[in-house]
Amino acid sequence: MPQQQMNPRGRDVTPILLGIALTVFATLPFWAGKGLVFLAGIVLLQMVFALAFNLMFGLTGLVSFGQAAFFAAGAYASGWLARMLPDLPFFLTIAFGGAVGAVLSAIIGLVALRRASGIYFAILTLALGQLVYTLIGKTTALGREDGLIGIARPVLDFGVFEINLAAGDNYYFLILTASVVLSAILWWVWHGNLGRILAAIRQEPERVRFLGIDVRRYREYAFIISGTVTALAGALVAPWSQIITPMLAHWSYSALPILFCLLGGRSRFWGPAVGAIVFAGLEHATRTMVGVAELVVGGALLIVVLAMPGGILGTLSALGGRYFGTKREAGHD
Amino acid sequence: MTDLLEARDICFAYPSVRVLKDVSMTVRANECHVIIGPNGAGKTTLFKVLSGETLPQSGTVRYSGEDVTRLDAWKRVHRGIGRTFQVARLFSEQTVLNNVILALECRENIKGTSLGRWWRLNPARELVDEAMSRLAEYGLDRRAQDSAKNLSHGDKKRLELLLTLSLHPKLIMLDEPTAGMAPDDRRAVVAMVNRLREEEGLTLLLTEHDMEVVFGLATRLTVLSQGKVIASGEPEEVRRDPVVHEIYFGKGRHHA
Repeated sequence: MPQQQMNPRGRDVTPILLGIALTVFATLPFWAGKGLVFLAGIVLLQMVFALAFNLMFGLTGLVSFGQAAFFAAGAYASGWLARMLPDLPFFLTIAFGGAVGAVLSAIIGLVALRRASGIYFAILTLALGQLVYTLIGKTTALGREDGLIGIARPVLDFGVFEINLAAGDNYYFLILTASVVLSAILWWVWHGNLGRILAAIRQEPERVRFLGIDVRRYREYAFIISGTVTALAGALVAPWSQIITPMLAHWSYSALPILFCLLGGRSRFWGPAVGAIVFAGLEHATRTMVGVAELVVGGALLIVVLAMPGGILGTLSALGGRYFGTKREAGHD
Repeated sequence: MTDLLEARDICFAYPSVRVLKDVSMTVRANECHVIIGPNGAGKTTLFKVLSGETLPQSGTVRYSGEDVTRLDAWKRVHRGIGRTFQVARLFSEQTVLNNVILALECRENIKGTSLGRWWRLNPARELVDEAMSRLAEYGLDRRAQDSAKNLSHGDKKRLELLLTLSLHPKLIMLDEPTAGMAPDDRRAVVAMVNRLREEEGLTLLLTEHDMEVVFGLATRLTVLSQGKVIASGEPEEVRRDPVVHEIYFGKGRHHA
């Protein structure tokens, strides 16, 4: 693919990892406990969140510190609508969450992208994100500081058959399907014509401008696509966690996708997904170590970020390339 | 010859220094107009104003009769102005071929054809073929799969010109096209610029330091000094101008 430099000596390990991850996620409810399945659902949506974020960060070169605002906007919009109109088809409430995310990101993008360079953009998005956080916390209809609780998982009515999302692991499989679809859309944007132009904007915006492209409009496209997909992920999280609080919009939640991108490798499409899984794994493994858990997680992150500039996926691909490269050569002898 | 680009009374100042003071100049169709002047004379700033990279504080820029003073650079590109930079601006992480393909996709995007639509996963076959044949034309086809950042200085400049030409501009602005080049490469640039003007009917506007290059291709000269136009006209005329001789050629550094 144009914007990825594959290791010339061997093959990319990404498809293999992707196959393993998909198998694990798809079979999880059959062999893992309820707690782990719940965590997996959250991780899947955080993966989508991080992949959408990386469309701006890794591809377009924009560092936003306010992405949690869109995640929260999607969650609150769909959660609020589902409570107001309980009979509304489930997909419409999710779509409403996405639409609110699209409008909000268009507005915030228009303001923040006036200053697309580094720190200004970061601070503007941080400030606007915190504004959304404050507004949610002060709105009575959205439950103020307590948030919205008891968001139902509805029954999907397809006419000839019904799927009760409250039963068994049905909602988990809905999350899995939605994550695959949303990731596929992002993958298409990243690798297609639009992605090529966005990558070019990251590398040399003035050259792109003098190739006749309205750079600001394209940055806005990236911002809106990212914000909309993030809001859809947020909308899907509401019925899963069944409680949403203003913390979803807090800046510390905006830092999460940045972490996943750096951890997994932001120059590759699937890097943030690897980051999300590894981070959740670390947290899960250290959950009983009261007091030192943060230290272990933080230390591990520090090591990865310092020792692997390409992130885990970048490093794995380089190693995998070497491994498979020599293996194939040996086969030819 | 008709006027293609016209600057009138351009003033531009940074907070502490006035860079351009009432600069007026005209570029006629199919000429090779070279702006010369000592370092710090305002050549690059004038370039920025003419190409739309920055807005002047006062004055007007007209292109093909239309007032484009407030028009953003990318819109001027749509009207047929292309430019290169003093230090070539390329997509350095990508291959030489992908640089050209991207420029062609931008062209199709401007034209609104289906070849430049955002949902296209892979570049259209015909654009890849066109890119390869363009690279061959400019002697860069052997480097097609190399990363653009590994090109030599001269090849980088050539590739940037190729990207600019991909959009079929009417007017090309080249900022110091031979800066840092070996004599052979410089002569190649002169030959190429002359070919573009004579065979493809392009209009060129350049800034240039090397006097051998300047007199090898200029059909008209504008001399800038301390933000003012001190002379303009045909090369021989300007060369004989006593004021120009005094402050520019007189120092012997850039003697022709």
